[in-house]
This record gives sequence, structure tokens and C-alpha cells, in this order.
Amino acid sequence: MGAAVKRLHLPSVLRYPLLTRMGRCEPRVVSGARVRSGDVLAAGNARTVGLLHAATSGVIELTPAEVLLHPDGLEDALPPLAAEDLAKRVCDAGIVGLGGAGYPTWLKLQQAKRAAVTTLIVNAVECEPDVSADRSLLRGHEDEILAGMRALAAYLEASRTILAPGEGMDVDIADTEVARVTGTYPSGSERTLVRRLLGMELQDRNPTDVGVVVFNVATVFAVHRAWHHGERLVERVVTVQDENCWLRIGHPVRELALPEGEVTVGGPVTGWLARQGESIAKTTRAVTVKTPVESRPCIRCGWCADSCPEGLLPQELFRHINAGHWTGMDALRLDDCVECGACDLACPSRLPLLATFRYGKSERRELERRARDAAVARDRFTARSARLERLRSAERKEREARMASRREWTHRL
Amino acid sequence: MDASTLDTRDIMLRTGVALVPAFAAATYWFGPGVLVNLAVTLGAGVALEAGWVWARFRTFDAVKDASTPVTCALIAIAVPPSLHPGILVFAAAMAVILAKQIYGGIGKNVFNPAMVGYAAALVAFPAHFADWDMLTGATALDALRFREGATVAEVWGQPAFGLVGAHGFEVVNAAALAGGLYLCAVRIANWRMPVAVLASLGACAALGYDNGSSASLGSPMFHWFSGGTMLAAFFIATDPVTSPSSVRAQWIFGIAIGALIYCIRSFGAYPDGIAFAVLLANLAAPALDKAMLRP
Ligand code: SF4
Ligand code: SF4
Repeated sequence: MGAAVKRLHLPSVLRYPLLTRMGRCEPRVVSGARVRSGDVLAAGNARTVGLLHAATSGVIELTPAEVLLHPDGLEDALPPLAAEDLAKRVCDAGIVGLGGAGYPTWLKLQQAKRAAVTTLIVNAVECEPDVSADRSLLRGHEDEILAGMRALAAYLEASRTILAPGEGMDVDIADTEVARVTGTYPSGSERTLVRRLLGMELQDRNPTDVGVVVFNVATVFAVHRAWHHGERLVERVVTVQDENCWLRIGHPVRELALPEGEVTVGGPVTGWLARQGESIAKTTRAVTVKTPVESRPCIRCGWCADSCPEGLLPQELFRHINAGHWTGMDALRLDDCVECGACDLACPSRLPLLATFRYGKSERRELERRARDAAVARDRFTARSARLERLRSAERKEREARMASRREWTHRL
Repeated sequence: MDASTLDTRDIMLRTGVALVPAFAAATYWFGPGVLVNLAVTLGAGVALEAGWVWARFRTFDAVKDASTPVTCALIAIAVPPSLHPGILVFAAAMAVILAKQIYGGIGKNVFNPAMVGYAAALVAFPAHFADWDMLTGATALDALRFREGATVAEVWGQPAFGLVGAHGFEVVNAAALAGGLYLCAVRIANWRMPVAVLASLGACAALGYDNGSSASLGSPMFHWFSGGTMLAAFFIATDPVTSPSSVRAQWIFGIAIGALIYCIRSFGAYPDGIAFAVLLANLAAPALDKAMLRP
């Protein structure tokens, strides 16, 4: 894998979907408008989505679902950001967790500051095999990452900063504690990292509860660009098949030179199939083409269970979901699956375990929703029947009373 | 070796490789009849299964995992050398068709196919198994059982016995142990099963052994290295399909096999009961899992 990060040509169009994985955003531009690089195209709730900036200059075309930006090739840019507070600057720059979760970085900073964290961990352990975006960033940009780390540590007043590169990454940064994390996938998640580096079991707590905050290395890099250069987050390093490229947010997946096959976005294991018009999002770490593999029947070897960080039994989950046994699923804790895909990697029969679990989760949510709806409808129906019954019996009583009085009356005649 | 890159086929091929020492030892001690068995069961098993899946699915996908050759090899080494080819074909058919394909193919069978094939042949053609076979290890085990009051040391003088176990079998067992340890080392076989089987068999034997008096039933060493103990412990009890998934259930499963082997060997009508011990434990595996599968 080449160490140097490639730069690609400007694509013919940049596409920004308004419905992102983190939530909805509303367009802040109109069709036909000219924008400069750095203009706000759309904005959502600052606590979930935040701001979306134009990655180049050009003309806007608005559709109900997307903002399209047709580049004019001039690369006009807005003046740099100027906010004096780091969290504010990071918020203005639209920085979110680039490791994959997409949690707004300013919010995390604020929470960490309020919790007075003492330890800052920079996560450069690749989340998935065959993804090397973090690694390539770490290799060529030590100084920038160091600058980002210093800025974050100063803001948080953290006394300890740990840089955690993954296997096979040699980093030598002056005055920095480096703790290489080796071993089997998955070790790149925050929880695993905190356990491995500090020996702390988080269980249900967040890292900030134990005085730790973890930032992905790409996020740290983006913070550095925003803090020291006033830049907004408009590009990131993406592993495209087997090389790493600087891609603008919004770069259409279709315009990447990829071999034939099923295009997966987000990593070969935990990613999903590219949809029509899919483009690079802030959280997109990788775009890969899957060579279709032939699955064989489960031989119950248990390797999936051995590899599951949550201690689940993927083979049993798989069997239950495929058989539609939703009732047995609680004991198997389907909802605890963190979708890391470790079981997929371990399975000698190459079964699509993770995909099945995702399907199972959504199917179960749907079933629950339907059951809830049915319960509501039933309650409504019983209430209505009771009401009608009440009315009817009141009517009956009234009638009987009327009849009785009439009878009495006829008698008297 | 990185186990995570192996696929099902690799697992089966490696299991085949791990059987090579046992076959070499068996061929050396019991003659080329062992290899004749192998050729016949392999040919019959693979052809029968291929015919079956072709008739049902019109594709050969279901045989590509290479599990059938392993099943056939296990049958071939378990039965007497140069067994009548008809019986071998019968055993192979029972294994791949009745025990595996009828249940829906690999992964769905309840019973270990090799043991079903072996047991069916043993029950149907007992005369052919009378004086020799791997899983019964008849001569020595029988000699020890029907010895009419002789002490162990006296019986040991007979040519049926070797250094620690039954003559010849001890070497085959040692070879199977070597192959089995390899499988455990590359994490294809689950080490818990052989440990549980051998420990429980050893414990039972130790209880029934009083330093070789006339009532004694054979030492742990003797039981470990006679009959098909090592094959059963490392190659048959570890079949992931027919053994439980949860760790506690696996221990119980292995312990049950060891104890059943000892009981059938010592008190049953068959001299060695490995096949029946395994089949009985297979039968219990789903229930064990159901009871213990609380992640
Ligand atoms: S790793 Fe694959 S084959 Fe093995 S038990 Fe799990 S799902 Fe089945
Ligand atoms: S994807 Fe889910 S079931 Fe599979 S290893 Fe990860 S947490 Fe376990």
C-alpha cells in the first residue's frame, strides 16, 4: 500500500445528501446560487449533524434530497475561520468524529471539558483490516497531528496524551507517549482502546466518566487545520480499494476508478453497499469493491463466538434470524451486537453474519412497531366497544323506563 | 498460522493431513488393507454424495467443502483392514446419505456421519468385525475382559498386548495423538473435547484399576492407548457440527463420551464402544446446548 496519499481530480459534481446517517439537515442555499469553497450549504441540529460546507466553488442545484454542487474550477475560497474558542472553531468548521461515528467534535470537547478529563487518547488503530486511511495520515503528517494534539490537550488541560497507532505503524513523535496497540481485530473501538491502554473496564460508562477522551487521528488532523489554518472540514483521507486518497466530502462514489463488482462504502467488513448516487460523507473511511465470496453452510465451529468482543454467539443468532425465531433473540442479546464484523472475518464458511444481524435488528424493530400499533388499535377497539355498550345499556334502561311508565299509564286508563 | 483466513474446505483438508500419521502407523502395523479400505470408502462416499446432491440440487456446491473425504477416511481407519468392499460401501452410504444428506447436508446433521456409518456396519455385519477392528480394538480389550480370573500381568504376556496398550494400537493411537495435537495447535479442533474425553476416561479407568489384580479393568494408560481412543477424542468428539457450542456443554459432552467409552468397554456387549458413546453424546448435544446457551 503506497504511503503517499493521492489527490484526485475535481469530480464533475459534488453531491451532498440532506439526510445523513446522523440526522437531517436543511439547505442554506438556493438553486443557481454561486458558492465559494467553505460556504455553508446545509445545516442540521448542531448536536447531531452540524454544518456542511462547500468543498469547492461552483453553482448550486437543489433537489428535494440533495444539494448538488457543479464546480467551476476556480477554487474561490472564503476567508479562514476566526473564532477564538477551540470548541466554537471546531463547530464552525463542521468537524465530526471521522473515525466512523460522526459524533460532533465540539460537543465531545465540551463534554470532556466539563468532565475535566485528564487523559487524551489519539486513536490511530485502524478500525478494520484493509483500511489504512488513518495509517497513511499518520505517516506523512506527524507534525500536524502533534499540533492538533497539543491544541486539544491545551484546551482540555489534559495532563497526559497518548498516541495509539495500530499494528505495524512506526511513529516517532517528539515528547509524545506512544502506545502501539497490536493484536486481533477489533481493537480500534473506544472501549477496547481504553481497556487496552489504561486497563479500565468501561461497561456502561463513557470514557469521559473515567477521565478519558478519545479522538480519532483524522479528527485531530482536522482540528489542527481548523485551529491553525482556519480551514473547514471539506475533505478527508479515504481508502479507495487499495490506495489512500484525499477526497472532497461529496465526491460521488461513481466517479472513483473502481474495478467491477459490488461497491462497499465504509469498510470492507462493516460497510454497506453503495446506493445510487452515494457520495463520500465525513464519516466515510473507505470505498472498496468486494469480490463476491461463496458462502458455505455453518459448521458450528464457534470461531465467530471466539472472536466476538461482546461475547455473543453469532452462529446461534444467525440461525435464529434466518429461521425467523424472534422470540429467542432476547437471550442471545442481538441488540448488544456492536456491528464490528469480527465474526464475519473469523467465519470459515464465509457467512454474511453481520449483514444478517443488521437485517435482524431492523426486522425486529419493525415487528415491535407493528406489535405496538396493534396494541394501540386493540385498546382503542376495546374502549370503543365499552363506550358503545355503555350507550346501549343506557338507552335500554331509558327505553324500559319509558315502557314501564307507558304500561302504567295504559293501566290507569 | 492465522486461522482467520481458513475456510471450511481448508479445515477439512487440514484434518485430512492430521490423519496421515495415524494412517501411516496403521498401514505399517496392520498391512496395506488399511489403504484398500481408504480407497474403497473414499470412492464410494464421494461418488454417492455427489450423485445424491446432483439429483437433488443439480449442482455440486454441496460437496465442495471436502468434509466427505474426512468422514470416509475415519470410517476406513476404524474398521478391520481389507474389510469386504460391500460392507465399506454400505458404511459410506450410511454415513454420507443417511447421517448427513438426509438431515440437509453438512452443518445440519445431528450424528457424526463417520460413526453412523461405522455403527451401522458393525450392527449389520457383526461377524466381519469379530476378531479385529480399530474402534473395538477387540483382541486386547476382550482378552482383558474375558480373562477368567487371571491378573492383568498374566494377561499382558499374551501377544495381543504391547508396551502400554493393545499391540499395534498403541502406536496408531500415538500417531493419532500427534495429528490431533496439530489440529488443536492450529485451533481447528477444540482442545476442550479431547481433554474432557481423555480425562474422564482416565478417571474412570483409575477408579476401576487396582494395580492389576484379577478384578482389575485396565489402567488409564491402557485405555488411552487402546482401541480408537485418540481418534475418538481428537477427530470425532471435536466434530463441531455434532458437538455443543457452549463451553460448559462441551465439557459435559466430552466427559460423557469418556465415561460411556469406559462403561461400554467394561460392561457392555461390544468390546469397545466408541461409536456408540459418541452417538449417544451426539444425541444429547442439542439438549445440552439448549440448557447451557446463555451467552
Ligand atoms: S464461524 Fe461461521 S461456520 Fe463457524 S460457527 Fe460461526 S457462523 Fe458457523
Ligand atoms: S458483528 Fe456483532 S456478533 Fe459479530 S463479532 Fe461484532 S459484536 Fe459480535
